[in-house]
Amino acid sequence: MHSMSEPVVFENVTKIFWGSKRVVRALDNASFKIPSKTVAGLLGPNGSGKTTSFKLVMGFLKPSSGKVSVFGVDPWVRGESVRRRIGYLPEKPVYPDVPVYRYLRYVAKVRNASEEDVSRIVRLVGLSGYVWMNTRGLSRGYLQRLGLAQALIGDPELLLLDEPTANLDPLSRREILELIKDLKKELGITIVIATHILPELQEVVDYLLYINRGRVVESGMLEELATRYYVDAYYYIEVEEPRKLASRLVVEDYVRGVEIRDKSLVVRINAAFKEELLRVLSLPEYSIGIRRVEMLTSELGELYEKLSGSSR
Amino acid sequence: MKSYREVAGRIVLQAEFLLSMKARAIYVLVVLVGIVYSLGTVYKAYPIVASFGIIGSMLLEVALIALAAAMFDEISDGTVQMYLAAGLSRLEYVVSWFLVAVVYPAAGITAAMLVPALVVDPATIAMPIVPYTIGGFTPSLLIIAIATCIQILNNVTVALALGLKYKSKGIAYLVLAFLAFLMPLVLSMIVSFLGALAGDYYRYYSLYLLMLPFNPLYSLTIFSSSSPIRLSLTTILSVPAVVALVFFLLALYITRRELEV
Ligand SMILES: Nc1ncnc2c1ncn2[C@@H]1O[C@H](COP(=O)(O)OP(=O)(O)OP(=O)(O)O)[C@@H](O)[C@H]1O
Ligand SMILES: [Mg+2]
Repeated sequence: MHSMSEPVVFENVTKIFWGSKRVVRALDNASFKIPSKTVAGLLGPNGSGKTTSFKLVMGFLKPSSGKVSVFGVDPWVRGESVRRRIGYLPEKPVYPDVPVYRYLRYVAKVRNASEEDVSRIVRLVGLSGYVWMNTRGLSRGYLQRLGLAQALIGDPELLLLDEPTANLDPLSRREILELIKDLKKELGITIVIATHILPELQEVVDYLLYINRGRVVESGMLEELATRYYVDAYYYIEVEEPRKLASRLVVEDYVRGVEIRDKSLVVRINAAFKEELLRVLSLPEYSIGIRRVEMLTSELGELYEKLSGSSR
Repeated sequence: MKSYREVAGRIVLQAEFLLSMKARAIYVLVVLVGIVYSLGTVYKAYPIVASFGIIGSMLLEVALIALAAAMFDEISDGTVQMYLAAGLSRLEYVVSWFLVAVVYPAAGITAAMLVPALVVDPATIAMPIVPYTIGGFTPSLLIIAIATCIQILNNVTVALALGLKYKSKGIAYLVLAFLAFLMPLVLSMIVSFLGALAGDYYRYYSLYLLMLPFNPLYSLTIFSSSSPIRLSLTTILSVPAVVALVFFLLALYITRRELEV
């Protein structure tokens, strides 16, 4: 079934808000799919429809036209069964006015999760000392952790994170990013992150969706987009003799930088020259020692600029 | 296959959660009003009973709308999203609010009116609550308790359903004020005024029928044995009960079809 490989599918979805003064097309005939088990970045300028897309996935909003399906069902009609499989961190969450532990226990009950699950997650997000505090008394950083905690209860298969690192100090930001990286390793979880903060997203995403004024401008695996838009990409190469390979690569003019590590190399190239790189690596004198080649990431900031340039 | 047991379990869980946050003061008020009424009847403190009768139930309705207004606040400030994100359906959420703001209080006041009287002297609940008759009609504590229950169910349900339709607590307050205060007041003014002009008070009495679907407590006295229009107790109680049910179903329909959060 297609819903297995793509937990989220939008087909020609339009969402119109009928204001008293202004009619807003928050989504305009948008079609996209989020592939299963990827970390997808949902990018776009302010007001482009990112939060609206999340609300449609959650079944909070009814599409004006088109079809939204999440795990193969319509979330507006059968929302509760869908939502129990999703962890959602809203952009501006407002929590019930109770102590943190009461709220999290409530979420666990609704989701049929255990008390142990709650304690584990509280520790995981670093909320341990704060469970007796009222949700309304938490600082913004801790509110964000609470948001992650409630989203993670009950082992969701899909995580929707709307600006997960907003309002966080640099250290907390790091922690949250590490957490997302750890989650990524978990089997079967799909993560969608809506954000503007690109450099940090770069470390975790492998799929990109760029929307502007409610329209999908571009979508695809990061590697594919990096190649198509000629942006720099970082390749990780595990090799027996890194120095030897490095000295060969630096002479290639598309190679922008080489960093030698223990038994490995990180090579920065213009992604359009991926084939060239692979050709060099397949030369007999190097290929023997090479154990693994993998694209680490690419320059999202550069990609973002090119995408926003192309959508004007 | 959907398990109705699970649905009911979540609704009760949600209602419990909402109650623990907001409703305590109002529930205390509900029980107090009921007990005063009950003991007032048992110990024949008629002035207390008479003043609590209609005013008490009106004040309770206002308190209950003030409580239900929290639902509209949750919808507009986004708290509802956290409940739904946990795994509630929109319908379960709205129904749990009906439990907290309508069903529990209506059941609570009925019990608080009847139980103390039953404990002190079971016979009192079937006796007329005032020695002198209102228009020749003397409802018992039992009838008054049932009428109060139905009136609360009816007025608060209608106000909530229309409030949901327009996603506005202002509309809910307005509808309740209309049903509980304005309609009885304005209708009696119109009937008396037109009656005075015609020189016949009973001429326009049928206008009071407008109150039948919403106001069993008033209807009890208005359509009593000495009035030109006489209705049976069954009519007086069942019409507003059916209207309450219809508006409850309307609220569910609105929630399912169009309530965005
Ligand atoms: N409930 C609403 N009523 C009216 N207009 C709305 C509503 N929600 C969103 N909009 C409008 O829809 C458009 C898309 O909003 P949305 O919140 O989805 O953008 P976004 O991509 O999340 O932006 P940001 O990066 O600022 O969070 C905006 O023009 C916004 O004003
Ligand atoms: Mg947003």
